Amino acid sequence: MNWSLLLLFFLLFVLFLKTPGILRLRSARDTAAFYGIWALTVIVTLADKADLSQLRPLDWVRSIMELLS
Amino acid sequence: MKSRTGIAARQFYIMTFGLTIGTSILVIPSGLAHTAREDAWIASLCSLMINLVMVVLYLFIARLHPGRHLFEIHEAAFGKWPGKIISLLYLFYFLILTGTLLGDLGFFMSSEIMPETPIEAIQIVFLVAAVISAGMGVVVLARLGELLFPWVLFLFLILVLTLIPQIEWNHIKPVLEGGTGPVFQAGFQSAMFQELIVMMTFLPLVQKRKSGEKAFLWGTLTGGIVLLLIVLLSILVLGIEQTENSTFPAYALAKTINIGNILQRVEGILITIWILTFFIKISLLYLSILKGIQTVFGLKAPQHLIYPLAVLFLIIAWNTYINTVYVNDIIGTVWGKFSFIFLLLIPIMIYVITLLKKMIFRKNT
Repeated sequence: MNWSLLLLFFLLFVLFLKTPGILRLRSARDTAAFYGIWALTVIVTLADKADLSQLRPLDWVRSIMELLS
Repeated sequence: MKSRTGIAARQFYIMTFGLTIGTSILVIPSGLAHTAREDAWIASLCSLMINLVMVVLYLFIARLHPGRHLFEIHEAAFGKWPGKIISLLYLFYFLILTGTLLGDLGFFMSSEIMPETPIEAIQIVFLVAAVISAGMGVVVLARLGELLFPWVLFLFLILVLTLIPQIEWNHIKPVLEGGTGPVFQAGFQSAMFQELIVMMTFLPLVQKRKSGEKAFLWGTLTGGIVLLLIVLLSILVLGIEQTENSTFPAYALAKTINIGNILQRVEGILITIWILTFFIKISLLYLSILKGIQTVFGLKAPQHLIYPLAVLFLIIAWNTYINTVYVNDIIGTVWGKFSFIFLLLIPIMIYVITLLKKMIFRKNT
Protein backbone atom coordinates (compact mmCIF):
# COMPACT_ATOMS: atom_id res chain seq x y z
CA MET A 1 0.00 0.00 0.00
CA ASN A 2 1.20 3.50 -0.82
CA TRP A 3 1.13 5.07 2.64
CA SER A 4 2.68 8.37 1.56
CA LEU A 5 -0.11 8.93 -0.96
CA LEU A 6 -2.67 8.18 1.73
CA LEU A 7 -1.02 10.76 3.99
CA LEU A 8 -1.02 13.35 1.20
CA PHE A 9 -4.77 12.87 0.71
CA PHE A 10 -5.24 13.16 4.46
CA LEU A 11 -3.25 16.41 4.51
CA LEU A 12 -5.42 17.77 1.73
CA PHE A 13 -8.50 16.85 3.75
CA VAL A 14 -7.00 18.58 6.83
CA LEU A 15 -6.41 21.72 4.78
CA PHE A 16 -10.10 21.93 3.82
CA LEU A 17 -11.24 20.91 7.30
CA LYS A 18 -9.15 23.41 9.26
CA THR A 19 -9.04 26.45 6.96
CA PRO A 20 -12.45 27.90 8.03
CA GLY A 21 -11.48 27.64 11.72
CA ILE A 22 -8.10 29.24 11.09
CA LEU A 23 -9.66 32.14 9.18
CA ARG A 24 -12.25 32.61 11.93
CA LEU A 25 -9.44 33.06 14.47
CA ARG A 26 -8.32 36.25 12.65
CA SER A 27 -4.78 35.71 13.84
CA ALA A 28 -1.92 36.18 11.39
CA ARG A 29 0.44 34.17 13.60
CA ASP A 30 -1.94 31.20 13.85
CA THR A 31 -2.53 31.27 10.09
CA ALA A 32 1.19 31.46 9.30
CA ALA A 33 2.04 28.68 11.77
CA PHE A 34 -0.69 26.37 10.46
CA TYR A 35 0.10 26.83 6.77
CA GLY A 36 3.86 26.75 7.49
CA ILE A 37 3.69 23.44 9.34
CA TRP A 38 1.19 22.07 6.84
CA ALA A 39 3.51 22.96 3.91
CA LEU A 40 6.52 21.50 5.75
CA THR A 41 4.61 18.26 6.33
CA VAL A 42 3.59 18.05 2.66
CA ILE A 43 7.21 18.58 1.55
CA VAL A 44 8.45 15.95 4.01
CA THR A 45 5.78 13.49 2.85
CA LEU A 46 6.74 14.06 -0.79
CA ALA A 47 10.42 13.58 0.09
CA ASP A 48 9.53 10.33 1.85
CA LYS A 49 7.55 9.20 -1.20
CA ALA A 50 10.60 9.94 -3.35
CA ASP A 51 12.73 7.79 -0.98
CA LEU A 52 15.19 10.58 -0.28
CA SER A 53 17.80 9.27 2.16
CA GLN A 54 18.67 12.85 3.27
CA LEU A 55 15.43 12.79 5.26
CA ARG A 56 16.83 10.72 8.14
CA PRO A 57 16.84 12.91 11.30
CA LEU A 58 19.10 10.49 13.19
CA ASP A 59 21.76 11.01 10.50
CA TRP A 60 21.47 14.76 11.13
CA VAL A 61 21.94 14.11 14.85
CA ARG A 62 25.03 12.01 14.11
CA SER A 63 26.46 14.75 11.89
CA ILE A 64 25.81 17.45 14.51
CA MET A 65 27.47 15.39 17.23
CA GLU A 66 30.47 14.62 15.02
CA LEU A 67 30.83 18.34 14.36
CA LEU A 68 30.60 19.18 18.06
CA SER A 69 33.15 16.57 19.10
CA MET B 1 -14.76 20.43 42.16
CA LYS B 2 -11.42 20.15 40.37
CA SER B 3 -10.10 23.00 38.28
CA ARG B 4 -10.46 22.55 34.54
CA THR B 5 -6.98 23.85 33.81
CA GLY B 6 -4.90 22.52 36.70
CA ILE B 7 -3.82 19.00 37.56
CA ALA B 8 -3.48 17.35 40.95
CA ALA B 9 -0.11 16.30 42.35
CA ARG B 10 -1.27 12.66 42.27
CA GLN B 11 -2.01 12.94 38.54
CA PHE B 12 1.38 14.56 37.96
CA TYR B 13 3.03 11.69 39.83
CA ILE B 14 1.29 9.15 37.56
CA MET B 15 2.33 11.00 34.41
CA THR B 16 5.96 11.16 35.61
CA PHE B 17 5.84 7.45 36.41
CA GLY B 18 4.43 6.68 32.94
CA LEU B 19 7.04 8.84 31.23
CA THR B 20 9.86 7.12 33.13
CA ILE B 21 8.92 3.56 32.29
CA GLY B 22 7.20 4.07 28.90
CA THR B 23 9.20 2.20 26.22
CA SER B 24 12.27 1.94 28.52
CA ILE B 25 10.73 -1.11 30.23
CA LEU B 26 11.14 -3.14 27.04
CA VAL B 27 14.58 -2.12 25.81
CA ILE B 28 16.64 -0.88 28.78
CA PRO B 29 17.82 -4.33 30.09
CA SER B 30 19.57 -5.14 26.82
CA GLY B 31 21.52 -1.87 26.62
CA LEU B 32 22.59 -2.05 30.25
CA ALA B 33 23.62 -5.71 30.02
CA HIS B 34 25.70 -4.94 26.93
CA THR B 35 27.97 -2.52 28.81
CA ALA B 36 27.72 -3.49 32.48
CA ARG B 37 27.22 -7.27 32.04
CA GLU B 38 26.24 -8.93 35.36
CA ASP B 39 26.22 -5.51 37.06
CA ALA B 40 23.43 -4.15 34.85
CA TRP B 41 21.18 -3.89 37.91
CA ILE B 42 23.76 -1.69 39.68
CA ALA B 43 23.95 0.41 36.50
CA SER B 44 20.15 0.74 36.63
CA LEU B 45 20.44 1.95 40.23
CA CYS B 46 23.08 4.41 39.10
CA SER B 47 20.74 5.60 36.32
CA LEU B 48 17.98 6.12 38.90
CA MET B 49 20.33 8.29 41.01
CA ILE B 50 21.34 10.38 37.97
CA ASN B 51 17.66 10.86 37.08
CA LEU B 52 16.88 12.01 40.62
CA VAL B 53 19.76 14.51 40.48
CA MET B 54 18.43 15.81 37.15
CA VAL B 55 14.92 16.20 38.61
CA VAL B 56 16.35 18.12 41.59
CA LEU B 57 18.07 20.45 39.10
CA TYR B 58 14.78 20.91 37.20
CA LEU B 59 13.00 21.69 40.48
CA PHE B 60 15.62 24.32 41.38
CA ILE B 61 15.04 25.89 37.97
CA ALA B 62 11.27 25.75 38.47
CA ARG B 63 11.65 27.52 41.83
CA LEU B 64 13.67 30.27 40.17
CA HIS B 65 10.92 30.66 37.54
CA PRO B 66 7.66 30.07 39.41
CA GLY B 67 4.59 29.57 37.22
CA ARG B 68 6.60 29.29 34.00
CA HIS B 69 6.79 26.18 31.83
CA LEU B 70 9.90 24.90 30.01
CA PHE B 71 9.59 27.10 26.91
CA GLU B 72 8.78 30.27 28.89
CA ILE B 73 11.81 29.57 31.10
CA HIS B 74 14.06 29.53 28.00
CA GLU B 75 12.91 33.02 27.01
CA ALA B 76 13.18 34.31 30.59
CA ALA B 77 16.70 32.93 31.05
CA PHE B 78 18.33 33.49 27.66
CA GLY B 79 16.31 36.46 26.40
CA LYS B 80 13.48 36.53 23.86
CA TRP B 81 15.17 35.50 20.59
CA PRO B 82 17.96 33.22 21.91
CA GLY B 83 15.28 31.62 24.12
CA LYS B 84 13.08 30.99 21.09
CA ILE B 85 16.03 29.35 19.27
CA ILE B 86 16.69 27.09 22.29
CA SER B 87 12.96 26.22 22.36
CA LEU B 88 13.08 25.33 18.65
CA LEU B 89 16.04 23.02 19.36
CA TYR B 90 14.00 21.34 22.11
CA LEU B 91 11.07 21.01 19.71
CA PHE B 92 13.39 19.26 17.23
CA TYR B 93 14.56 16.93 20.02
CA PHE B 94 10.99 16.13 21.11
CA LEU B 95 9.94 15.56 17.46
CA ILE B 96 12.72 13.04 16.85
CA LEU B 97 11.95 11.42 20.18
CA THR B 98 8.26 11.04 19.33
CA GLY B 99 9.09 9.62 15.91
CA THR B 100 11.60 7.16 17.36
CA LEU B 101 9.11 6.02 20.02
CA LEU B 102 6.49 5.44 17.36
CA GLY B 103 9.02 3.56 15.26
CA ASP B 104 10.01 1.47 18.28
CA LEU B 105 6.38 0.57 18.94
CA GLY B 106 5.73 -0.36 15.32
CA PHE B 107 8.87 -2.49 15.15
CA PHE B 108 8.02 -4.34 18.36
CA MET B 109 4.40 -5.02 17.42
CA SER B 110 5.17 -6.09 13.84
CA SER B 111 8.14 -8.28 14.77
CA GLU B 112 6.84 -9.95 17.95
CA ILE B 113 3.04 -9.86 18.01
CA MET B 114 1.44 -9.06 14.65
CA PRO B 115 3.98 -10.01 11.95
CA GLU B 116 1.35 -10.04 9.17
CA THR B 117 0.14 -6.49 9.86
CA PRO B 118 1.98 -3.64 8.10
CA ILE B 119 4.05 -1.59 10.54
CA GLU B 120 2.52 1.61 9.16
CA ALA B 121 -1.01 0.45 10.03
CA ILE B 122 0.03 -0.29 13.63
CA GLN B 123 1.66 3.11 13.99
CA ILE B 124 -1.35 4.91 12.53
CA VAL B 125 -3.73 3.17 14.96
CA PHE B 126 -1.60 4.19 17.94
CA LEU B 127 -1.16 7.69 16.61
CA VAL B 128 -4.95 8.09 16.34
CA ALA B 129 -5.16 7.47 20.11
CA ALA B 130 -2.42 10.05 20.71
CA VAL B 131 -4.18 12.55 18.41
CA ILE B 132 -7.43 12.17 20.38
CA SER B 133 -5.50 12.58 23.63
CA ALA B 134 -3.74 15.72 22.36
CA GLY B 135 -7.09 17.15 21.27
CA MET B 136 -8.57 16.56 24.74
CA GLY B 137 -5.65 18.21 26.56
CA VAL B 138 -3.45 17.43 29.51
CA VAL B 139 -6.24 17.50 32.12
CA VAL B 140 -8.07 14.63 30.43
CA LEU B 141 -4.79 12.74 29.99
CA ALA B 142 -4.08 13.20 33.70
CA ARG B 143 -7.50 11.80 34.62
CA LEU B 144 -7.04 8.90 32.21
CA GLY B 145 -3.68 8.24 33.86
CA GLU B 146 -5.49 7.84 37.17
CA LEU B 147 -7.71 5.18 35.61
CA LEU B 148 -4.80 3.31 34.01
CA PHE B 149 -2.35 3.46 36.89
CA PRO B 150 -3.91 0.77 39.16
CA TRP B 151 -3.92 -1.64 36.19
CA VAL B 152 -0.26 -0.93 35.40
CA LEU B 153 0.64 -1.58 39.06
CA PHE B 154 -1.51 -4.72 39.30
CA LEU B 155 -0.09 -6.23 36.10
CA PHE B 156 3.46 -5.35 37.14
CA LEU B 157 2.95 -7.09 40.48
CA ILE B 158 1.67 -10.21 38.71
CA LEU B 159 4.70 -10.13 36.42
CA VAL B 160 7.17 -9.84 39.29
CA LEU B 161 5.48 -12.40 41.56
CA THR B 162 5.18 -15.04 38.84
CA LEU B 163 8.85 -14.64 37.90
CA ILE B 164 10.19 -15.10 41.43
CA PRO B 165 10.21 -18.96 41.30
CA GLN B 166 12.52 -18.87 38.27
CA ILE B 167 15.21 -16.68 39.82
CA GLU B 168 18.75 -18.03 39.56
CA TRP B 169 20.98 -15.97 41.89
CA ASN B 170 24.22 -17.17 40.27
CA HIS B 171 23.33 -15.11 37.18
CA ILE B 172 24.33 -11.84 38.87
CA LYS B 173 27.70 -13.15 40.07
CA PRO B 174 30.47 -12.00 40.05
CA VAL B 175 29.61 -8.54 41.30
CA LEU B 176 31.64 -5.58 39.93
CA GLU B 177 34.11 -7.86 38.14
CA GLY B 178 34.86 -5.20 35.51
CA GLY B 179 35.11 -2.38 38.08
CA THR B 180 32.83 0.63 38.45
CA GLY B 181 33.68 2.24 35.06
CA PRO B 182 31.30 0.22 32.85
CA VAL B 183 28.58 0.46 35.51
CA PHE B 184 28.69 4.28 35.57
CA GLN B 185 28.95 4.43 31.78
CA ALA B 186 25.89 2.20 31.33
CA GLY B 187 23.99 4.04 34.09
CA PHE B 188 24.68 7.42 32.53
CA GLN B 189 23.73 6.19 29.05
CA SER B 190 20.49 4.73 30.41
CA ALA B 191 19.60 7.95 32.29
CA MET B 192 19.59 9.78 28.96
CA PHE B 193 16.53 7.77 27.84
CA GLN B 194 13.99 8.90 30.42
CA GLU B 195 13.63 12.50 29.15
CA LEU B 196 12.09 13.83 32.36
CA ILE B 197 12.60 17.40 31.14
CA VAL B 198 9.28 16.92 29.27
CA MET B 199 7.49 17.18 32.63
CA MET B 200 8.76 20.75 33.02
CA THR B 201 6.08 21.73 30.49
CA PHE B 202 3.37 20.53 32.87
CA LEU B 203 4.84 21.26 36.31
CA PRO B 204 3.30 24.79 36.55
CA LEU B 205 -0.15 23.21 36.04
CA VAL B 206 0.07 21.42 39.39
CA GLN B 207 -2.13 23.28 41.83
CA LYS B 208 0.11 22.93 44.93
CA ARG B 209 3.76 23.69 44.26
CA LYS B 210 5.27 21.64 47.11
CA SER B 211 3.10 18.59 46.34
CA GLY B 212 3.99 18.91 42.64
CA GLU B 213 7.70 18.85 43.45
CA LYS B 214 7.25 15.78 45.66
CA ALA B 215 5.19 14.10 42.93
CA PHE B 216 7.96 14.76 40.38
CA LEU B 217 10.56 13.16 42.66
CA TRP B 218 8.36 10.20 43.68
CA GLY B 219 7.32 9.53 40.09
CA THR B 220 10.96 9.41 39.03
CA LEU B 221 11.91 7.25 42.02
CA THR B 222 9.14 4.67 41.65
CA GLY B 223 9.45 4.57 37.86
CA GLY B 224 13.19 3.99 38.30
CA ILE B 225 12.54 1.22 40.83
CA VAL B 226 10.22 -0.52 38.35
CA LEU B 227 12.95 -0.35 35.69
CA LEU B 228 15.51 -1.59 38.23
CA LEU B 229 13.31 -4.59 39.07
CA ILE B 230 12.82 -5.41 35.39
CA VAL B 231 16.59 -5.24 34.73
CA LEU B 232 17.31 -7.34 37.83
CA LEU B 233 14.70 -9.96 36.90
CA SER B 234 15.92 -10.07 33.29
CA ILE B 235 19.41 -11.02 34.45
CA LEU B 236 18.28 -13.30 37.27
CA VAL B 237 15.87 -15.25 35.08
CA LEU B 238 17.25 -15.04 31.53
CA GLY B 239 20.96 -14.79 32.31
CA ILE B 240 23.39 -12.29 30.89
CA GLU B 241 23.73 -13.71 27.35
CA GLN B 242 20.01 -13.85 26.58
CA THR B 243 19.39 -10.43 28.16
CA GLU B 244 22.16 -8.87 26.09
CA ASN B 245 21.27 -10.54 22.81
CA SER B 246 17.47 -10.11 22.88
CA THR B 247 16.04 -7.04 21.18
CA PHE B 248 13.25 -6.93 23.77
CA PRO B 249 14.56 -8.81 26.85
CA ALA B 250 11.61 -7.87 29.08
CA TYR B 251 9.25 -9.48 26.55
CA ALA B 252 11.41 -12.61 26.47
CA LEU B 253 11.32 -12.53 30.27
CA ALA B 254 7.52 -12.44 30.35
CA LYS B 255 7.41 -15.39 27.94
CA THR B 256 9.26 -17.59 30.45
CA ILE B 257 6.46 -17.38 33.04
CA ASN B 258 5.17 -20.86 33.77
CA ILE B 259 3.42 -21.70 37.02
CA GLY B 260 2.65 -25.44 37.17
CA ASN B 261 1.96 -25.58 33.42
CA ILE B 262 -1.29 -23.74 34.11
CA LEU B 263 -0.30 -20.09 34.10
CA GLN B 264 1.84 -19.58 31.01
CA ARG B 265 2.12 -17.39 27.85
CA VAL B 266 1.11 -14.34 29.85
CA GLU B 267 3.42 -11.95 28.01
CA GLY B 268 0.29 -9.95 27.22
CA ILE B 269 0.70 -8.54 30.74
CA LEU B 270 3.95 -6.89 29.78
CA ILE B 271 2.56 -5.69 26.47
CA THR B 272 -0.38 -4.08 28.29
CA ILE B 273 1.93 -2.29 30.77
CA TRP B 274 4.11 -1.14 27.92
CA ILE B 275 1.29 0.10 25.71
CA LEU B 276 -0.43 1.99 28.55
CA THR B 277 2.78 3.77 29.59
CA PHE B 278 3.77 4.30 25.96
CA PHE B 279 0.43 6.04 25.43
CA ILE B 280 1.11 8.36 28.39
CA LYS B 281 4.63 9.10 27.15
CA ILE B 282 3.72 9.85 23.54
CA SER B 283 0.72 11.97 24.60
CA LEU B 284 2.92 14.01 26.96
CA LEU B 285 5.45 14.58 24.19
CA TYR B 286 2.66 15.56 21.77
CA LEU B 287 1.18 18.07 24.24
CA SER B 288 4.63 19.42 25.06
CA ILE B 289 5.38 20.00 21.37
CA LEU B 290 2.05 21.82 20.95
CA LYS B 291 2.79 23.99 24.00
CA GLY B 292 6.27 24.70 22.66
CA ILE B 293 4.99 25.78 19.23
CA GLN B 294 2.33 27.93 20.90
CA THR B 295 4.93 29.69 23.05
CA VAL B 296 7.55 30.17 20.34
CA PHE B 297 5.13 31.57 17.76
CA GLY B 298 2.70 33.20 20.20
CA LEU B 299 -0.34 31.30 18.94
CA LYS B 300 -3.93 31.64 20.14
CA ALA B 301 -5.03 28.06 19.34
CA PRO B 302 -2.37 25.40 18.68
CA GLN B 303 -5.02 22.64 18.36
CA HIS B 304 -5.17 23.26 14.60
CA LEU B 305 -1.65 21.85 14.33
CA ILE B 306 -2.53 18.44 15.78
CA TYR B 307 -3.23 16.70 12.44
CA PRO B 308 -0.27 18.04 10.41
CA LEU B 309 2.01 17.20 13.35
CA ALA B 310 0.63 13.65 13.48
CA VAL B 311 1.63 13.14 9.84
CA LEU B 312 5.06 14.62 10.59
CA PHE B 313 5.50 12.13 13.48
CA LEU B 314 4.67 9.25 11.14
CA ILE B 315 7.17 10.34 8.50
CA ILE B 316 9.85 10.82 11.18
CA ALA B 317 9.05 7.36 12.59
CA TRP B 318 9.47 5.77 9.14
CA ASN B 319 12.78 7.55 8.65
CA THR B 320 14.29 7.04 12.10
CA TYR B 321 13.47 3.42 12.86
CA ILE B 322 14.83 2.06 9.59
CA ASN B 323 16.15 -1.16 11.15
CA THR B 324 17.47 -2.29 14.54
CA VAL B 325 21.12 -2.22 13.48
CA TYR B 326 20.86 1.42 12.33
CA VAL B 327 18.98 2.55 15.46
CA ASN B 328 21.23 0.60 17.88
CA ASP B 329 24.30 2.10 16.22
CA ILE B 330 23.00 5.67 16.66
CA ILE B 331 21.78 4.97 20.22
CA GLY B 332 25.10 3.38 21.17
CA THR B 333 27.31 6.10 19.69
CA VAL B 334 25.63 9.52 19.64
CA TRP B 335 22.15 9.58 21.21
CA GLY B 336 23.41 9.69 24.82
CA LYS B 337 25.63 12.72 24.10
CA PHE B 338 22.85 14.40 22.09
CA SER B 339 20.32 13.91 24.91
CA PHE B 340 22.90 15.13 27.45
CA ILE B 341 22.76 18.58 25.80
CA PHE B 342 18.99 18.84 26.36
CA LEU B 343 18.64 16.99 29.65
CA LEU B 344 21.63 18.38 31.56
CA LEU B 345 23.79 20.92 29.73
CA ILE B 346 21.09 23.48 28.81
CA PRO B 347 19.28 23.14 32.20
CA ILE B 348 22.61 23.76 34.00
CA MET B 349 23.15 26.83 31.79
CA ILE B 350 19.63 28.05 32.60
CA TYR B 351 20.25 27.62 36.32
CA VAL B 352 23.60 29.42 36.29
CA ILE B 353 22.37 32.27 34.06
CA THR B 354 19.25 32.80 36.19
CA LEU B 355 21.30 32.86 39.39
CA LEU B 356 23.75 35.36 37.88
CA LYS B 357 20.89 37.56 36.67
CA LYS B 358 19.33 37.54 40.15
CA MET B 359 22.68 38.41 41.75
CA ILE B 360 23.27 41.32 39.35
CA PHE B 361 19.69 42.54 39.92
CA ARG B 362 20.18 42.44 43.72
CA LYS B 363 23.47 44.36 43.47
CA ASN B 364 21.86 47.04 41.32
CA THR B 365 18.94 47.50 43.70
